[in-house]
Amino acid sequence: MGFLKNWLSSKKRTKQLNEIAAQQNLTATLEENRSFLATIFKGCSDVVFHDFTIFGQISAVLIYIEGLVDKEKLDQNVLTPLLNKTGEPFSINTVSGVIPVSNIKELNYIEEIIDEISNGHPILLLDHQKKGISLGLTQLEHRAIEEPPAESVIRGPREGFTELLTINTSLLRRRIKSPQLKVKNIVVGRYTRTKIGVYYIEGIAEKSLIKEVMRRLDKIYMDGILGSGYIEELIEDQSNSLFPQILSTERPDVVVSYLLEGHVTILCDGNPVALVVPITLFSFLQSSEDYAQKFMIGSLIRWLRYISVAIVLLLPSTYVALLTYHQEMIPTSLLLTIAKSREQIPFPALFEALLMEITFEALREAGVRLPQQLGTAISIVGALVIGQAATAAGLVSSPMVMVVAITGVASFLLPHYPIGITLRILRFPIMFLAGMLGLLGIILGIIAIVIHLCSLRSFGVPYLTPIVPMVKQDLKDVLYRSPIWARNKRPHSTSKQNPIRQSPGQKPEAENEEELHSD
Amino acid sequence: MNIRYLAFLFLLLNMTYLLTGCWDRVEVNNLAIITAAALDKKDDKTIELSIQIFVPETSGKEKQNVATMGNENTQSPTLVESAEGVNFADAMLKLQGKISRKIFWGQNEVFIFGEQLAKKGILNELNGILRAVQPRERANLFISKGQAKEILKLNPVIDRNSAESIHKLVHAHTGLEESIIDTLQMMNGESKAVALPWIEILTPQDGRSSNVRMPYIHGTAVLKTDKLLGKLNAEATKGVLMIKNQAASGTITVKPKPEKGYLSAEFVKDKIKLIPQITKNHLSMKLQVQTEAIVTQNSTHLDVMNSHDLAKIEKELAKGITLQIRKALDQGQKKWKADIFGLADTFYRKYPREWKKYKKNWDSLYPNLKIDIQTKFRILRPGMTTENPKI
Repeated sequence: MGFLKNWLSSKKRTKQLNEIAAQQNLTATLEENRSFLATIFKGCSDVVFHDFTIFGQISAVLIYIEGLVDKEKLDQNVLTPLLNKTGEPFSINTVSGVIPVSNIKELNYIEEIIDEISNGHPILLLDHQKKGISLGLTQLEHRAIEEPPAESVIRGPREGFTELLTINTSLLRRRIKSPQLKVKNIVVGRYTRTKIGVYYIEGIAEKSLIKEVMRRLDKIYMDGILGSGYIEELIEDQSNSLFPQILSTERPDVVVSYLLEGHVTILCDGNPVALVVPITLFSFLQSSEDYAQKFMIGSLIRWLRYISVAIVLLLPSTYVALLTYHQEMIPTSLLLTIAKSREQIPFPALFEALLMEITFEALREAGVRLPQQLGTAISIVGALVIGQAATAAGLVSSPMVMVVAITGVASFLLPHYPIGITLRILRFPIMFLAGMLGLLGIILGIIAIVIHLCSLRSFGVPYLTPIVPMVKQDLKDVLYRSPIWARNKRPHSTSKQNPIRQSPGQKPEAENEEELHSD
Repeated sequence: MNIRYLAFLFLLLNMTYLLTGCWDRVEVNNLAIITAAALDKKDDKTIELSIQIFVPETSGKEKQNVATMGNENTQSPTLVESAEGVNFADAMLKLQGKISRKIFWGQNEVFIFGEQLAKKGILNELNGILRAVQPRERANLFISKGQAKEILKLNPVIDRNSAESIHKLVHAHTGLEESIIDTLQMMNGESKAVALPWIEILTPQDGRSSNVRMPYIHGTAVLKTDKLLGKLNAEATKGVLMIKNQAASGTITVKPKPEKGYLSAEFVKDKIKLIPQITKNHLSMKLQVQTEAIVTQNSTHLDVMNSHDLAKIEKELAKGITLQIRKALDQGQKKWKADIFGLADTFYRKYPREWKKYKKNWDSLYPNLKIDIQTKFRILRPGMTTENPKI
């Protein structure tokens, strides 16, 4: 309770400064407003106060932050007309009338003005006016749209989100040209004032879901949001779970496919990763690539992934369990071969497996963080350590090298990094269980994981839908990848209210065959 | 609070097996993997248990030996060790005392009983094998000519060890395949007799490498209750295999009457139905044989593609099959008077009530049981050619 009190009071304390500013109206004297803002931006050397006289009659000040503003346009479109024109009767409307800038807003409160300046909008303040004018002449430096390296596809769009929210929004809007695509913006972070966009399609996404997402986002109150990872951790259902309950992706096409199924997407300024809610476990085992290939191929690849999940999770532990407890379960000739290769190995199978798996994980992590030039060096070292040298040194048997290698390959098959890392971590406790209790331990581990998965929910949707609870209609996207023409209904869990996706009977048929061949 | 509780529970759970020391973990490095076991009669009271252990160490060296010294002097990758005891369990314990590693029975699929011990009775030792945790009850059982231990000592060139050779032979279906559990079921069943594959040692004909001898399955041992009576030859074994529905493949060769040459056919499908009949206190048996085959050699003038000839061929072949089965039945009924085919069980299954009457007299009924064999033979394909090559 004490912590709650603290939290509440801290909220109050910081509110105070903002509240003062919010309540403060602009005054009619320019000098007063200017000095007030100057005190607020004291010590911010990048904030420019540019004083000048409009039409030769009235003094004004232009406030902006250097680097966030398109200076060229500011000079051409704002200063030039205001300085050159003379003799006209003065009013705030005539001022905004002569400025050829589309995005113009009139502001009344100091807080709004501070926000606008911080966001890179130049502010024009005039003498004798209780209103300020915000000019939408922002120019933010940004990265070009590139293919997201973590989610590359063979066949499909190569565009990925960037760090700018406006560009990301435009990427989505370009794909969904319907006014039904709604965007809600909120600002979080006491200092960072990060803009967060919540996207959904009205009429498909359920209202209760949108409400819940907004409620959770509204609850966030902290110094800063540095990325979607922060948001994910703050709004997910079970923060203590290893399993990701929110899908993160850098691909706009993936986001669009989820939006069309009634999911809600959260994008955060300054981060190219979108969050999709609600999500089920099986979404992590699907890739947008599945829908670029024929449905049979997509289905087969999906099953390959399911198998790889089992391999990543269970192969090393099964090997350890069989080798230390259930030697009778290994085919005779295989056991003899293994016995031969293990003869010189000084370690028990469990230790051997741990040694190799940890080495592999370390190498992999090192490879991810290192610059590319060093990456090749790591792979050479890795090949030596995991492969030849370890067996030659007599530390590890060659079947174990195979097991680790197969596990490694299988883990590369998982299309989403978060689920991959979860399974890779879970592999270790199961290995310990296998080393201590044999196959019984593995089964115990699986049971524990399944129980946990059954208890998980992502924004009200059970994590294992459509398997638990069983939703027959949605199995078409889990057991196999259904053909596009057969997906007549949207997923049950996210769009109950508007289930019809397309009209049935769209399977292509060669009806006009004769006509086609007639000439 | 909750987390602490869980952590405590986790610790407690861990203690249950860590503190009690009930950690059954055994590394493969500490196992003496048994590939085959043999039991022999030592003297009137004791038996000798021999095991063939896979030696992983030598296998690596062997490779080098082969490269440098040639084939002649290869070291055996297996080790045969034996111990005496009053019974299987006793001998097993003594054997463990001789071997540094933990004896591991889990992979053993071959149990061989020596001729002498089999004559004395094998049930007592089977009891011990069945009771022990590790040995597989699906392991195959064999009777060997002479000392069973000698079979283990063999070092066949083509296979890793003699156990593997025997195991492969079983799967080739040239002899019977009987597991421990099957054998016990036969012994405990109504027929009280069992047929087991008979192993002999084959000496290569070239004489060059007389030390390279191989085990092979040659005939069938006939056991009544659990005691060895005698042996069926390879020809009769074919019939036994057919009656027991174990003849996965086989070839039959006949000489059609007016012709000069022979005709051989290989079975593709071979099914036999035992139909017991009790009519007016009279027991009889009907054997329905259905065989489908491919012609593999034809040196007669009969044309397989001619339907008239074909009928004749099929008739001749059916006759051949009937004869083969009859031979086996005669051996079992007349010569050894042991119901190795499990005929009693078929009666019991079909007439459970009436059977009680005949059960006691089965020993006297069996040798004179009238068995009618009906064979249907069908040629499926003429082989790769339809006509006989002409000169």
